[in-house]
Parts: sequence; structure tokens; C-alpha cells
Amino acid sequence: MTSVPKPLKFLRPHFSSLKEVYDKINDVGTKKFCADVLSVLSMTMSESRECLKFRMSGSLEPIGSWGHEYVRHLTGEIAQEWQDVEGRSDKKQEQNDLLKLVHDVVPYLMQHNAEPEACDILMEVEKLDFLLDYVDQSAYPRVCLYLRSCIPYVPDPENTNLLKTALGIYRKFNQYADALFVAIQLNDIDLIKEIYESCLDKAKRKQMACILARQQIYFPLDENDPDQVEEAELMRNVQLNGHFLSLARELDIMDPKVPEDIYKSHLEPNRPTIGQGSIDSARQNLSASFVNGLVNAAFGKDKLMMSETGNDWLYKNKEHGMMSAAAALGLIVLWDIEGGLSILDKYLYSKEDYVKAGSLLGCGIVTSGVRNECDPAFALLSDYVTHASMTMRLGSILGLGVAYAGSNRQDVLNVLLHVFPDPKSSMEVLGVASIACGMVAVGSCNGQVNTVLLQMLMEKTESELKDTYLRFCALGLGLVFLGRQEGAEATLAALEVIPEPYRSMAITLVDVCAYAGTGNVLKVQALLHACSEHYDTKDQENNEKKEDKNKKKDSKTKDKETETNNLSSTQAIAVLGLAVIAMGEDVGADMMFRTFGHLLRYGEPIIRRAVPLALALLSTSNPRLQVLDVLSKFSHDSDAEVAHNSILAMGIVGAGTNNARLATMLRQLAVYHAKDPNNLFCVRIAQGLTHLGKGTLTLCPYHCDRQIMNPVAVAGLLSFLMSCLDVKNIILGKSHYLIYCLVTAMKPRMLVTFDPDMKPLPVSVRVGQAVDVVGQAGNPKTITGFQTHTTPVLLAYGERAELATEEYISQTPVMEGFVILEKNPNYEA
Amino acid sequence: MPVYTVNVKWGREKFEGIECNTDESPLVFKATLFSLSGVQPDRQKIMIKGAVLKDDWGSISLTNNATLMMMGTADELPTAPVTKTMFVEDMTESQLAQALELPAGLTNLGNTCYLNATLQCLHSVPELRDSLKKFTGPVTMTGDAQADRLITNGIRDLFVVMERSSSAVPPVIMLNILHMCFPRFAEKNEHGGLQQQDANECWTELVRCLQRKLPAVGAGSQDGAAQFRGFIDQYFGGELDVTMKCLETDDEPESHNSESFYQLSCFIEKEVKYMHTGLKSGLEGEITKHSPTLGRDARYLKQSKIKRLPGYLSIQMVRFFYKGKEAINAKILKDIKFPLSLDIFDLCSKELQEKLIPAREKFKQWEDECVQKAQAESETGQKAKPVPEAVSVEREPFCFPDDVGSSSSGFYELRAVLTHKGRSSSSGHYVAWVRGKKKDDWLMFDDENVSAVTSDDILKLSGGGDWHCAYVLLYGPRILGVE
Repeated sequence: MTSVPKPLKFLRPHFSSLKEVYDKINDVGTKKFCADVLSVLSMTMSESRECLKFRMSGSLEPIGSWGHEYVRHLTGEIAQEWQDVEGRSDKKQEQNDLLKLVHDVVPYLMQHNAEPEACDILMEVEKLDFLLDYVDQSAYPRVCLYLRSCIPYVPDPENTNLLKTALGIYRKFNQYADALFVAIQLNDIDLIKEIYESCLDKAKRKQMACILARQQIYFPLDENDPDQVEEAELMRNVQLNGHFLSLARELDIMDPKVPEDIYKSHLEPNRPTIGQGSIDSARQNLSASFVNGLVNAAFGKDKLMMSETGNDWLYKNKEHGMMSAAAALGLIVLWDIEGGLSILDKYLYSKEDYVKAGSLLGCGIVTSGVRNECDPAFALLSDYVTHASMTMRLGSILGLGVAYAGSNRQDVLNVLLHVFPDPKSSMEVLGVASIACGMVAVGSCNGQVNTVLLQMLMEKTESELKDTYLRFCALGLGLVFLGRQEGAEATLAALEVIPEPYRSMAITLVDVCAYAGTGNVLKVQALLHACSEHYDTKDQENNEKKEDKNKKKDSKTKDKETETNNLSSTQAIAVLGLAVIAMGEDVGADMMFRTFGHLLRYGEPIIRRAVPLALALLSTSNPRLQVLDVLSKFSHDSDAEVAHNSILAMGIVGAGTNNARLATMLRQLAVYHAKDPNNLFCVRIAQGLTHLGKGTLTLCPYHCDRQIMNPVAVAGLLSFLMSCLDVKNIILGKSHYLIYCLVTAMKPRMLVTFDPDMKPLPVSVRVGQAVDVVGQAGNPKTITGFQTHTTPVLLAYGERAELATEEYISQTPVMEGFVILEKNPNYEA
Repeated sequence: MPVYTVNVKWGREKFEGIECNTDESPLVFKATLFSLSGVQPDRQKIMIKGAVLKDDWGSISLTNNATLMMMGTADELPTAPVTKTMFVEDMTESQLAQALELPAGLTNLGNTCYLNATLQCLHSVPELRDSLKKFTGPVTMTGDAQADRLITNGIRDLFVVMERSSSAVPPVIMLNILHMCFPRFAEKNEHGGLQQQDANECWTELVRCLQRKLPAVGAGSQDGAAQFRGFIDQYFGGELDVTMKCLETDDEPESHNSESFYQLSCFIEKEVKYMHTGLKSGLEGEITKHSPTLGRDARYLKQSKIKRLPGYLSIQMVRFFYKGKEAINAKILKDIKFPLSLDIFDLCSKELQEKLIPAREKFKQWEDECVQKAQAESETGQKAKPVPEAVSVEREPFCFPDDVGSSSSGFYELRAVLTHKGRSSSSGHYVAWVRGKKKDDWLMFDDENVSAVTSDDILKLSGGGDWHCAYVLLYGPRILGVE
């Protein structure tokens, strides 16, 4: 009450008598003034909404004259009143009165650095469109930031409204890049195109092309306009490999590494070996192939496969191992279509089916995330999709999936969908084809894929549905609806006809995929409920058997057992689903982390096995200490699958970070599990992931200040994690090539700056820890603890960059990936 | 006119403005590309807009200035290696052991770890193995056959089996022979199982049997060898020069005589912390005996100096002492440090010391050379090429030329350790630890389990707790030129 005249304070004891007096006043003018005074007084005196009531009947003088506190209080009462009015039948009139007041309040709040309150009240009265009128040049960034950060906390249709409002504001102020981000968040390709087309500034268009390339969105542009041809090239991400390599040269990390450089077994406490140790272990060679691929990913050089003895190395792997080893070659030349394919070419003539299949997969991997106008991957792979050899099918199908992930290209899908009606396709082929279709059509609601997958599932018998590879069919369906929320409802209903072992699993999976990254609380609740069920019938069964050896009882218990099986597969999906829904939002992720702690301690075995994977998804490429601690603890678990998954999860959590603490942990694990080839394999993969691209890549599916989810990356991560749900039979079995699903999530975590002609432009930037500035007044610093570097630089998880000088102006508010800078005309050195 | 000018990308190269006539067979076009790139037409993969050019143009439609992509290399195609890689995962147990060069363990037949450990330690002496191989005579279980021969044959046959096999060998025959020759080892406990035995006792008995049977190396050819009765005397036997001096009278002259030994004992007294001190105190002591000059029992100082050093020196840590009250062999757990390489010079007699000096000089010289080399390496900063093993001078024999099996330097390297874990000699567990091929490689033979350990683990066997404590140490000769 600081801005209220002092004498008014002495009126407080007389509040009730004043009200009586007010009722008796007959003079209209005086009555209004009295109402004003009462309105102010009731701010502190009254419990019921009298402040608002007297304001309505007052003299309607400028709202700010009674001070800021008064306005805020009034705002609160308006919101409450609105909710009360909502239920009434004659609400129109009252709502109009309230809205008039809102029109008073909002401009005042906007002018007084209280944008969040202004947004809040408009959200309450569901009139966000008012914002467009009241937002000015200085306030719009804060308003939009607030709106965007509210999204995880509002229910379903409201979040889209928020985004649309933010989009409107950005477009009003011609912030194309920001508008594009929001449109991407809305996952509306037409809107994206519209925004792109509406921008006429060349530099800005190029910048947008770069952003779209990061999100793997591509639409054809006019081929006759040379500018647009250049933009299309940017959108195809053709230069990715070149710019990445120039960063690598800048950082002086071009020298290829061998697996031993990662294992650093000389640092292990002397682990003696008996004999020469010169004999080959297929397992260890396979892990070396993977590690070699992961570590040298995208560098185009290695010491193992491309040297003169590289061919021999291929044959030092066994059967399916050869496939993975050959595909690793593709990983090494990632994104380098021109140079990479010619390296893979010679293996396409191999007599060994596994090598050929591996190089087909490799061709797919090379083209992941980049598009070439000649479409080499499609040209090369499509012939093998229905090849007589299942191995070749696997290689080409997964290759196509990885290469065209997110493109939703009809010609690719047509080829892939041919696999399903083919009676010769094995379960493994069907599963991988589902993943591939899901990846290509990710988040597209593609009806054709949906129908074919559903139909195939319906044709399967109950026993066939138990096959471990068929879980991927549900995943394929889920991926098609990734992030589409209600879009999946028809499919969910259709899934009801599938027999029960599979039904709840598939429904849960599709449902969580549809709500991926939304933080939807209701879904989380439902999933937690599914996890809380305890079906420890095993003990009961034993007891019952002891008590009663009646045959009927036995058959009953058997029924129970099968029931347990199907529910537990649902539980595993539910655990993963919790992470899928909660990821990308810090508060939710932290809450999930706590919940997972409980699940790990008290959950069923199947839940415990899934929790490490869920943790991996929650903090992908973000080696938070508490997560690592938990995973490290469970990497010694007595349940082998918990240990395998924890170790692999450690790899995902630290992917591409070179995190020293994690590296030490993994080395210790390698010693601890030295005698267990399965666990050792997991440790090796985790080590390879940790040093992914020598620490320059990330698997994190979020980019642009962790605001935008890249569905393609989520698809890759989910496919890998799903295969870890049966780690023994899939990753540790013969289908380790599914590790390459992660390729779609691999992105360089770099910042490269260009001038408007796309020439690299080294500038100094400050890189520091991002600070949450939502709802703060003024222009607060967005980073802390920064250091100044010259671009190109690497950005760690949670780091943000800003230009150190005002010499240039960035075309995008988020300094990540490829950023185009323009000279600042007002800059004086 | 279906003639188009197209660009072809081949790897990072680009051929521009190539004419292409779609009326002709694609082979013509491919031939043009062959002339440009050197890639055989059948190795060319030409792609345009998601399609590969096959034997006819098919549905492919070209436009002017279209960019085509060609894949293919002019290099040789990689071929599968001739020999298929054999993987650990596919090998059988015995293949695996062969590939890993894993020595065989011995199965425990019921508290027979004392025998297994002893045999593994003895097995570590290459000269003994050779000598046994040459020994002839079958195992006969018939009644009155000589115990010594039975034992010798038994050990020989067992060693042969161990070398051939890679998995654990059950020493059934050997155990039976042992029980037959030394019935006290066949003692049973109250549960009817075999009783645990003292490994050193077993060791001594076995060595004694071998001593009587194995012929001397080089016997007959050289007169130098004739002075020894057998192999064990050559390689395991030493001689002491014992001086007795009466402490109670000065009249009596010192008496000298020789004693032979097959094992030195390290007595664990209060002040003993290192094996060397224990050895010393074992060779020096006061005894009471009848003095001819005084005509009564008198105190004598008995001083022993080593006159001959065997190539293989076994040292017993006297850890067990008989406790009358409980009627058991109680164990001293005290920590007695033992070295991995032993110098026994100061325990030798004057004469022997003089004889040892030339060989020791050589060792010293060689060591200095090594140090210099290392220094030179660190100065130049680059590693000099390691001296190839084969070229290095023939290994110096470790013995005197006129005395096969002796040690000419007094330097020893630890070869094998027999440890005991437990609180008394007739209980607990015996394990043998044997040096492997490389310097830091050690193998632990815990009955049928063989595993690799490091020399750090060996040094931890010095006692002082309930972990395995060294009981018998077998030192072998240090060989010049080998670190």
C-alpha cells in the first residue's frame, strides 16, 4: 500500500461502517468515489471479491492511480470471478464487464514490467489474442518467452493456443527465425512453408534453411532461382560434413583413434592375462568395430577399417558381426555422401552376404540427415528390400529407414511397405521394417503406414505376437504418431482388437509416443499406475502348489502366469513412456528422476530393467552426476539385464561428451566385468558412445535451447532403447546392428558462424551456462560463467552462446549449429 | 534428339559436360565414363534421382545439365582372407587352453592341495622336467617295488600328462603311489575323508625320492659331475661349511665339517622381519654338545657358511611350531618380507665368495650397460630398438663350468611360492604360485583353477594376516642378460 495516500490507512478500522455508509449514499458521484475507496480498502480487508465488486461500481478512474499492488490484486480477483462466471447461464454480460476491466489491466501490466501477470490473466480469461494489440517492440521477447515456457504446464488444447499466440506476436514483429521455431514446435509443415515464403530477406531465409536442415525438414524450392537453389542446398544439409571437418581441424582432433585409445587398458590396474592373448574373440572384435565407428564417426578417417588391412578386420568379425563392422564404415564417413559412398562401394561386391548387407546399411547411414539430389541411398538400397536373403533385407531396410528418417517420402515408404505382405519376411525383417517405416514417417500420421502395420498385426496369431521382434511393429506405429497427441486416437481404438499379450503393450507405446515430450501429467499418472501393479504370482504359485496339487489349480496358476507376462511387457513400456513424456522439460525430468529411484528399489524385475533406459532418455548426452551415480550403482546389479542396460544407459547419458568421470567409471567397470563377455561388450559400447565423434557429437533430441524436439532423433533413440528392453536377445544376440538406429540422433554440438554468403566467419563468442530468464524484468544476462572463444566452437549440454561484440548481428536468437551473421551498420569499433 | 549434356559426379571429382545419347545403350555412356575415370563399366553404378542406370535407360529421363552420380572404384575388389579367423567363442575347452597356452591345473581329490601345490612348484623347474623325461621305468604297482622309483615314475608320468592336457588333471595315480609309499599321508579324518598334510613334509619326501633316483646330468662324460650322486644333488643340493667353536674354553680348536642341505630354513624369531635375517640366524646358533676337551656338555657356537650354492634354492619359512597343549602345528602369521630377487653372497664361505666374484662382476657390468642404455634413450627421447632376443648372446650358464647345477653368482630369482592359508599345517589350504614366461607374469595354481596374477600379488604373500602366506619359496638362478 505504499502508493496509497496515508490517510486511507486510518480508514481500515472503519471498513464495515464505511460499507454501511456506502449503501446509504444517494449522490451518484459521491457513491462512486466511496466505492473507489472501498475497493482499495477491501484489498487487505475482505475475503470475498469486494475489491472487484467496488471497482465495478466505482468511478473507473485510471487503474494505475491506486498503485501496482492494487492492480495485481484486482487481476487475481478478475481471474477468480471469471471462473465463477464461467458456470453461469447468463455469463455474457458479466464476462463483457470483466473483459473491459481486463482491457484496462493488461496495458498497465505490460508497461510496468509485469508481462507474466498480463499473460496469466489473458490465459485465465482465454483471450490470448488481446496480447497482439498490447505487446510492443520492447516487451514482445519477454512475453513470447513466458508463453513458450508455460507450454509444459498447461493442458492439451491450451498449449497449442499459446504457441499460436507466440507465433502471431513473432510474425507481427517480423521475427522469422523465432516464428519458425514455434511453427516447428507446432509441427505444422504448411505453416513452416508459409513463414519461409513470407520472408524476403536473403540472409534470414538462409538462416531459416539452416534451422530446417537441423530439424531435418525439407521442401522443394524453386529450382530456377539461383538464390533458392542455394537455400535448397542448405536445407539439404549438404555442407554438414565439410563444416564439421573444419571444426575438427580447428580443434586439432583429426587424427583417427583406435579402440585402445578409448579403452585405455594401460590405465586399468594391472589385469594380467594368461598367454599371448592373440586369439580373436568375436565379441571383442565386434565391440571394437562399433567403438571404432562411433569414435571416428563423421571424421572420414580411421585406422582399423580404411587401412590396408581393413579388409582383414572385416573378416575378423563373425557373421552378423561382419554386417555391423561393414556398417561401421558408413558411420565413419557419416554425412559425406560424395566421398563416403565410394569407400563403401567396393564392399557391395563382396561374396559374403553379411558384408554386403552391412555396406548397404552403411550407405543408408552415410546419407542420414543429409539429402542428395541424386538420391543414392534410395537408388542403391531399394532393390534389396525384398531380396531373397534375409540378411540383405535387414541391411537395406534399416539403411533406408536411417537415410530417409523424417522425410515421409512416399516412394521410400512404398518400397518398404512391400515387405509386410511378403510371406517370406522373417519376424526380424518385419520388426526392422516397422522401425524403418516409423522413422521415415515419423510424426506424420501417415495413413498408409498406419494401415499396413495395423493390418499386419491383426493377421498375426497370439503366439506369433510374442516374438521379441514384433515389439517394433508397435514402435513403428508409435513413431508415426510421435508428438501428434490426439492424432493417434483412431489407431489406439483399432489396436483394441489385437489379442491381449500385445494389446496393452502396443496401446501404451503408441499413446506415449503421441504425447512424447509434452510432460502431460495425466498420462504420467496413468503410466505410474501401470507400474505400481505388483504381480508376484510366482510365489503364490509355489505356495499353492505346495498346498494343493490339484490339476485345476495348476492350470489356473498357469493362466495367471501368462497374464503376468503380458502385463509386465506393458510395464516396461510404461517406464520408458514416463521418460518419453517427461523428457525435454527440466522440472518434470527431475520429478521423474526421483520416481525412477523408487521404481528401481521397489519395482518388479521387468521395471528395474527398463528404468536405466528411461534414465538414459531423460538425460541423453547430459552426464548429470546424480544420474551417473544411480546408473553406476546398478551397473553392478546382480540381475544381468539391469546391469547391461545400466551400462548402455551410461553410454547414452554421456554420449559425445568425453566426460572424464564417466570414462573412469567405465574403465573400472571394464575391469569389474572383465570375465563377463556380455557386460564387457556393453561397457565397450558405452565407452564408444561416450567418446562419440571424439566428443563432438550429441544424441540429445532437443535443440535450439532445448526447446525443439527433433522427432527423428527421438525415433532413433527410442528404437535403440526398445531393443534394449530385450537386451539379451537383441543387442547381445544377433541384432546388434540396431545400435545404428542411434545414427539418426547424432548431431554435431557445434556453433559455426557464416557471413550472408555462407563463408565461414570466425567471430568471438561468449559461451556459458544457460540461465533461466523467464519472467524476469529487463534484459537480464542469459549466460553465466562464460568464456570467450572464437567460432567454430563446441557447445556442451545446457550451454548457450552469445556474440561477444556488437560488430555483427545474428539472424537467429539461438546461437546453435549454423548461424548467419550480418554486419551491424551502427557498430563503431 | 535424345542427346543431353550432363554432369557426372564421381566421389569428389566432377566430370562436366558429358554428352549422353539415350538412343544408344547405356554401355556407350559407361564407356565414356570409363575413359574418364578408369572404372570398369560393370563396376559403375550410375544414379539419378533415386534410380540406378541398368542395361537400358528404362524410365530414366534426363535433362540437360542434370547431375548424375557415379559410384565405383578402379581398385581391386577386396577378397576374403584365405584363412578363416577362429574365434574364442567357437573353440572347445581344450582348443582354447592350447591357444591361450594355459598350463594345466591339478584336481583336488579331497584335501590333496598340499600335494598339488608341491607338484606344481616342482613342475616349474625346467631342468627337473627334462631330467624326469629321460628317466625310464614304468609305473608298477606291484608290492615291493622301490618307493623311490615309484614316486619318480609317478611324478614323471603326471608331468607328461599335465603338459599334454590343458584342463585340470586328476593326480589319482600319483596320490595312490604317495599313499602307498608314505602311509602317513593316507591318514583319514573323523569323517572318513583324507586328512590335510604338511606340504613341506611332502616336498621333502618327494625331493628325497627324486634325489635317490634321478641320475646326475652329464654323469660319466665329465669328472666334475661324478662327485654328485644325482640330479637333485646338483640342482637342489647345497653344502654347508660348519664351524663349531666351544664358547667355554679357548683350548679347543675350531672344528670344521661339511653338511649338505636341500633346503634352507628361515626361522621366524622376534627380530626377524625379512627373510634374509631369518636365514642368517638359521645358519648361526648356539648349541650344547659334549666337549671332548672339557669332558662335559658345553655351549658351542655353530656357524655355517655355504660352500656350494645349488641352482635352485628352496627356502622354508618355519611358520609352524608344535603346540603341545592343543596338539597341533600352530602357525606364525607374522609378516616376513621376501624379495623377488635374492642375493645370498653374505651367507657364503670366503672361498665360495671369491669364486662368485667373476660372475657377479659380469652381472654388474651388464646392469650398468642397461642403465646407460636407458639413460641414452631418455636423453634422445626416442626408444632405441629393443635388442632382438634371438641375437643376444647365448645365455650364460648359471653354474660353474666344473660343477653342473650350481649357482655361480649367488643371485637368485623367485620362481615359485607355495603358500598356506589357515591356522595350522594340517588344515587350511595350500596354493602354488609360479612365475610365468614374462617378468611380471605369475600364475596361481589353486588346484584345478589356474589364473594369472602379478608380481604385486606375489609380494602380498609375505604373511601378516589370514591371506595366503608363503611357506616354501623356490628361488631359481638369475640368468645373465635377462631382466
